[in-house]
Amino acid sequence: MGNQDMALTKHSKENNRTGDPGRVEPRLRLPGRAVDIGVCLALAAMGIWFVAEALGMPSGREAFAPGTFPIIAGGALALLSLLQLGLSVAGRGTLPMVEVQRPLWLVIGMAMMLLFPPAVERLGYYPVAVVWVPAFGWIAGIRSPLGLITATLIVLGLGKFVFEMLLGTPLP
Amino acid sequence: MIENLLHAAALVLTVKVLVALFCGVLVGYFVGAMPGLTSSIGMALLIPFTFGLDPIPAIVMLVSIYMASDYAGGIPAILVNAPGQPASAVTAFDGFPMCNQGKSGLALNLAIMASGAGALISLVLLVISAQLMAAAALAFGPAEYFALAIVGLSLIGVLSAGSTLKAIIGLLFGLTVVTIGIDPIRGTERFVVHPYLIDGIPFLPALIGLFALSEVFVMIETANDRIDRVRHASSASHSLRTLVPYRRTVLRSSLIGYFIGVIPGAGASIASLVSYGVAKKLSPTGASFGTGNPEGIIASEAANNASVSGALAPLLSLGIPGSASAAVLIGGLTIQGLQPGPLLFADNPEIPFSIFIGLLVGLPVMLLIGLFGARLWVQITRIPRPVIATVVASICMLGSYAASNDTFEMMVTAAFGVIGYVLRRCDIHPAPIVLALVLGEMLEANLRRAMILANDNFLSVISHPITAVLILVSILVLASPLFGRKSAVA
Repeated sequence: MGNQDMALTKHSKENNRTGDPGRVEPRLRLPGRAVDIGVCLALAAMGIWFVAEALGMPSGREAFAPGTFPIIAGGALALLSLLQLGLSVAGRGTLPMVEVQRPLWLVIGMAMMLLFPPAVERLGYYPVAVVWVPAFGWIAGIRSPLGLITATLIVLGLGKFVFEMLLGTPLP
Repeated sequence: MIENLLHAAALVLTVKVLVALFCGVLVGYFVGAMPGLTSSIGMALLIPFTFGLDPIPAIVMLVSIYMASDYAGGIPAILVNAPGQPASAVTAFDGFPMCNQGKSGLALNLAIMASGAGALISLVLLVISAQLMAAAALAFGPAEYFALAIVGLSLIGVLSAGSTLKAIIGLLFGLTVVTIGIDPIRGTERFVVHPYLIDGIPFLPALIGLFALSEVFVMIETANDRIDRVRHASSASHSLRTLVPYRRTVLRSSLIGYFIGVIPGAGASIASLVSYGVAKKLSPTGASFGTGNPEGIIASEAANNASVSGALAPLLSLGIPGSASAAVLIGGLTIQGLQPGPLLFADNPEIPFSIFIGLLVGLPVMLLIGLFGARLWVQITRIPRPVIATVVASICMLGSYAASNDTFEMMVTAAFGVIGYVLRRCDIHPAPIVLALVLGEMLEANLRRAMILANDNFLSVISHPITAVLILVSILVLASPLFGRKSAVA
């Protein structure tokens, strides 16, 4: 795979099929093989960790102890992930390029999702939602103030009227 | 059976349940018509809204979403060539050409009527077969349930979309994750790296993360993609006779859809593809399939709607979900304190029979909304994806919090959303993972119970006649891709 595959590439307006004419956003193109190898390594590591932990579990008299099933499932996960990794390294199977559109926004969106629960726990749902929803909306691609306000009002309304008042779920 | 049906009818025909059914149909049409949102996502998002409801309105609402989304998926497939559901992609083969020929009204009518006919025929089959399956399954012991879970998992692995090896890796990921928490037989703590994990990974937040939140990330990615808007959509024609010349295709496709739906992992997409292929082969006008042949639409829509009832049969009678949406429904039942399986018919017969009556009562509602509201539903494709993504992301968080009023559940949803997205990009889809989360505990607990009963003799466990047959079936299923490859090479 050449360096160009890993590069952030800017596409022409025609190829970008953007909904907003004039906006050209970068795309991240990764070799399918590299993605496969990375994910398989992570899954194999997870399987091995489960097996290692399960081996240390107390075993009773029975043939099927609490650790046996995790050893089988984790071991098979590690084994098949390594098999897939081997196939990917050997170049077997079709592995097209993995194209990630709007990669920066995507990563920020993921980070925002992961930060939402601790923020809600510390500051409460409504103060966080008032800031978080329009920010997430912007990241998701809403560019009109009306769209951002509408999305925020929908989410706040859902929280108040549906979850708190109708379903009786007290929000933090 | 008649007595149970009449009792269930009395329970369903109340204002509360009918309102729940209507809401379910509306949400189902919304998620069905909206490309990117599937029935499983819609159901996963709506489960938190059922916490405060009684079991019957809650389950009827979830089943209505499942049914209605399959109805609605065909509407944007025909009018804008953008299938609302993956299974509706086959409908677009002939539906969109018909639309371009100025016959969109007829195409919509055929799709909706064929959906209704498929749903009705399959509902009759469901009522008969689910009870028979449940009665047979009452004789099952732990060994048979273990083997049943093995068959379910092997079918899911082989029949899931994409690479078989990756689908099995997805299954194993789910089976590994499900071992976190208290072990089901001896109560030993396993992999409890944080006190919150003592009860294991919470199913509903994981489900919402894998299905709905991972889709939100896809929507963020594709925010700039243009979706073709419908310009000249005519309403569906309202004649009820349009299906009469195609009654054989309707019946055949409904049967195909139902029986494929019963097979775990096969699902509506395979049902509609197989049905379309068979119709093309048997039809005297088969050569014109793909150019706007009405029979193509009927074959696809009747089969994909029939597969919904098909997927409910093993779910209700054996506790084995036939599809990803059925797995989500298990989540809905569990939250209501109900365990799907043969005992459901014995202990809570009002639940399966209310589902049957709910499907029957929902049928005319869905047909009317489809026939008279097709133009309205297709306008849903006008809602900008970023707005949908933002609202869905927020519902994901609110919904997972409502599961137990704990922000830890939100964290699980966020984490599984990211994991689900990354695995998706590697062609490991969420459906096998979710099905493994459902079947994992059933598999382990029953295997260990069977081993205890057989004095730790595994050969004795698998030598039960039914168990042996089921294990043999799963070996054949797992080996089938090898045979397929050899014959393809030959």
